[in-house]
Amino acid sequence: MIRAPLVKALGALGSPTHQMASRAVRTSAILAQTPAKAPEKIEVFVDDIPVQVLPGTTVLQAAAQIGVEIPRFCYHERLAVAGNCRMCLVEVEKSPKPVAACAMPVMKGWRIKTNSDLTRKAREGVMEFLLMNHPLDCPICDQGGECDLQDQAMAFGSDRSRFTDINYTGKRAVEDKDIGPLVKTIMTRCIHCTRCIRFASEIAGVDDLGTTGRGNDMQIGTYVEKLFLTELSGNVIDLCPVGALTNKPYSFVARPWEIRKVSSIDVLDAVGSNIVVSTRTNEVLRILPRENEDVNEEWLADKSRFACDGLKRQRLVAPMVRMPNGELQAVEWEGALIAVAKAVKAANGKVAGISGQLADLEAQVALKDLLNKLGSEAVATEQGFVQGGTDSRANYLLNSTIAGLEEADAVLLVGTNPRYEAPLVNTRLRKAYVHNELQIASIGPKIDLSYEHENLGADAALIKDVCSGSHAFSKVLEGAKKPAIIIGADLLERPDGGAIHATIADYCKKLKKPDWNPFNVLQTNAAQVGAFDVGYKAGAQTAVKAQPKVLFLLNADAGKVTREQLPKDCFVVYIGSHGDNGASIADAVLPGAAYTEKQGIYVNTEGRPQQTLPGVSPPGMAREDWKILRALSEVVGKPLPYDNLDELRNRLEDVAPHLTRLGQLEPAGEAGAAGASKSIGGGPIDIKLKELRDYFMTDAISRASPTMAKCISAVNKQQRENEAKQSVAI
Amino acid sequence: MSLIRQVMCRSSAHLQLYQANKLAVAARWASSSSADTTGPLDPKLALALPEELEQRNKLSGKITVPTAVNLGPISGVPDEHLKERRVRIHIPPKNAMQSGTDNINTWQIEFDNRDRWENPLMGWASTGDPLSNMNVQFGSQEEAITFCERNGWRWYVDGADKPKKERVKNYGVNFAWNKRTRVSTK
Amino acid sequence: MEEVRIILDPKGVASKGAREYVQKFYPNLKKQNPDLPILVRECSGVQPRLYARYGNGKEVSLPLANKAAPDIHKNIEAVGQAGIKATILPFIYIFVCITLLKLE
Repeated sequence: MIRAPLVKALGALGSPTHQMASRAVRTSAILAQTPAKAPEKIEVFVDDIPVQVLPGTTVLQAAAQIGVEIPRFCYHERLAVAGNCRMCLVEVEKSPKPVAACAMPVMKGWRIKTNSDLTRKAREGVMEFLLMNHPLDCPICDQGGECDLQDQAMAFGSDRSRFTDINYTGKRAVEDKDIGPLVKTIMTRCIHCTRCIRFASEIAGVDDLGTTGRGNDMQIGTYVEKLFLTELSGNVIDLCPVGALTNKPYSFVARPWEIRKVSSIDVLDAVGSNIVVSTRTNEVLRILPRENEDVNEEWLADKSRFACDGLKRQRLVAPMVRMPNGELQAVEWEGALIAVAKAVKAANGKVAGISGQLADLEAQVALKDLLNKLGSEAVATEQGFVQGGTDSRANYLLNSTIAGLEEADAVLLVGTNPRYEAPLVNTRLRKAYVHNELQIASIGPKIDLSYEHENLGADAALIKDVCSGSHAFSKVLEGAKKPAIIIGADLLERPDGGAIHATIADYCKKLKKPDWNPFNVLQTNAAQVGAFDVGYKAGAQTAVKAQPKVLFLLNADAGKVTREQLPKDCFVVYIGSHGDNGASIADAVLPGAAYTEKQGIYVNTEGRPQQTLPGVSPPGMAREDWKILRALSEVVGKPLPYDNLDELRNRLEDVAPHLTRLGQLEPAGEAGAAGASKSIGGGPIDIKLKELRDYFMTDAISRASPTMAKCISAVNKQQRENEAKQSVAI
Repeated sequence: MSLIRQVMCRSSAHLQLYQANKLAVAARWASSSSADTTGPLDPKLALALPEELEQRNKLSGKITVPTAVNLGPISGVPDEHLKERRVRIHIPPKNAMQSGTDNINTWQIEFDNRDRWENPLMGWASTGDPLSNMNVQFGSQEEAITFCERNGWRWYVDGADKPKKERVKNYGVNFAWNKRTRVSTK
Repeated sequence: MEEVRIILDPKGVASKGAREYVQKFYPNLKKQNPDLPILVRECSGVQPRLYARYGNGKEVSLPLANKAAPDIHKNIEAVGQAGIKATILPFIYIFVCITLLKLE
């Protein structure tokens, strides 16, 4: 059932008048729908309890308001209503038939009976039909123990089966599909709820999944075998109410009742998605999203979900010191700390520090305090930013907030690809595109953002055009109720980054609305905002310029610093979890803990501090990063004034009090650096992550992950096949 | 019953409630009946059988202990588990794999995680930590805080209740002719 | 002086002066000292405070609650001077205390 929507057909004609017309039609339709004032609530009765609800609320939502949960398979809060599983049938008084609670809006005075005989009979019947074609393979099914069908069959199903298979034809069987290295399919188990289809087309924006055939022959799949090519594919595993789509790397690994769940924060991008880390015997088995309406809703990007096997590979398990023959040799902690302390003392204040992508705030503060005590000011982040632009928090934050972008109605993306830099920010933009008629334009190379947008070009001079108000898109921004300009963090590393920043910040002052800050920087590193908050300087070159005798690399693995840039006798100390770029140039390696092994604060791109909690202990002799620095400070003879996490957090509160308000967002002031030049050099704007294959490996953990490597090779294979097909067609 | 024993009894939630049952019957009936008439109806309360209601009423009483009680010294918990542990008070997150929410309406206390290792004998998980396996549920945040303070643990509350966002869902938007919500794939 | 941190409440009454200071005096101060980090950190519900860090990690702090913007400017100048004149912590404290007394 493939229908071409009228609007898309109109848009595809390409003429601007057509586009304009369709937009006008849509806008007027929305205006007509939006009532002037909040509509009066109507009263309905759920199991004889009166409930006040907004008009248009469905029966299921009305029941949920008083805590009555109606069983469902196809209905999902964040997806469109499908109404095809029929599990939510409930009786409504005076209605001849049971109604589907998920799709039926309530009427005034309705008496809904969620536990009547008719309702129970309807559920039992639906369940019986579902189970007729569902295999009884729960003991070997990965969903077993956390399966909606299992639970609801127990709660609402019949106590016996009438399935006798009189013709000995067996149950319906469906061939499994290969949709990539992340999602395993056992299609016989599918109950056709179409949640995965709706997720793919609404949230992820790829119309890859669909149904073919009808009745008993209906199948869900991609029609021709191909990958489910999206950075959000893992979410269909969560959405699937049965075991038809399961986690491939996690298959047959554990049962839900064996695992411990630890609520934590993801650090592989700067969104700060809330996660639940599932562990067993000191091993991270899988990562699931945790609901947070303000950050990740309940989705999780694939890198965050599947790169957890990188936590077991390439780990640094013992302190190491480089021997005269050039080899790193494992030593005891004492020896390593003394070796570093000797070098630090000999450096006589000529020390510097670089903090990388995955460093936690505690370690960053400890490192900065230690280096400051040693008399050094060269403490910088690995990724660059506008020099001196970190004074005001608004300069480096996503000020419109992630949830706020949902309400935006005009967005300009400058040198960023949110789809791969922050997939869950992109889902918000897509949501606004679908539900809020958002108009999007981008300056940079042509990219696929999973929704329609206008590419203005790649020339940096365009920024000046837009910001001076002479460009056509300026009119759109100025006319919008909630405009937003999003700048990619990588773009600001350019030599004219400061000018770009200042130009856009100035323009945003004009666009500013009460309670709405249109100036946004989309960070890509989880540690970046926290580092700036506590006063790190921007850019590895700041540290290199100081020509240090000792250089501390705190999780700095992006490879921005090379041995050639440093003085010959420079002693490089790497503190971090993985043996990657940083450790390979180090003279001393101090093994730290990864994000699942420590309690650490990370500040996300909108400036929201959140903390990770330890699920497992660090491997081997590895220790929490701030404890390493605390111990080192003692050996150096400049002890840091905190001995435990509470004292360190108190110090954080002195540095910037908002950092200890976990989970809360403190709005920042106004962006704009004083006295910055505004001459934007020409030259095209480039983006690092252009395609899906660029997305999977961006940091030390995902580079160590075999699953991520499989993803890249799968994407490459798919592309080769596509090219081969095309050449045959020609 | 000696004073110490009374105090110790109260550390257990159930025993505390039984105490309440014996001591303050009259006051409780008064308070619970007044609560019924004022606030919004609790579905569980409204749907309950009369026997359940009676049982509930019996268990709903409270005892106020005027002074701060620290059970730490007499609870027998080793000092290292009293002073160094931090208790996280939180609402358990919804399991992303399922849509049910009935088991996430309580507050829980959780201790910071300690070392676990594979037991060489059977390969099962071993730990030297008696507390992080403890999973106690409370009806409210305050109850959990009181429990922690009585036991002398340091606590912090993680994640406050956020009001749920109301969204109006509409089956019709799937077929809207002039909106982007129209579905093309099915 | 190596770093200045101004902590203020974006809405509170006690931080009114601090907010004004950031608005009026900050651009000039930054122009004069382009390399000095002057970090403005907002947090709702806090008492405004000024932290100044000198070489070797020594920090002093002053409360800015209910102070007017020009007074705050004087304070910052004072801590800046203190950094030049004194190299040891007690001296700075004494100097700052005296300035404070003078102001009040």
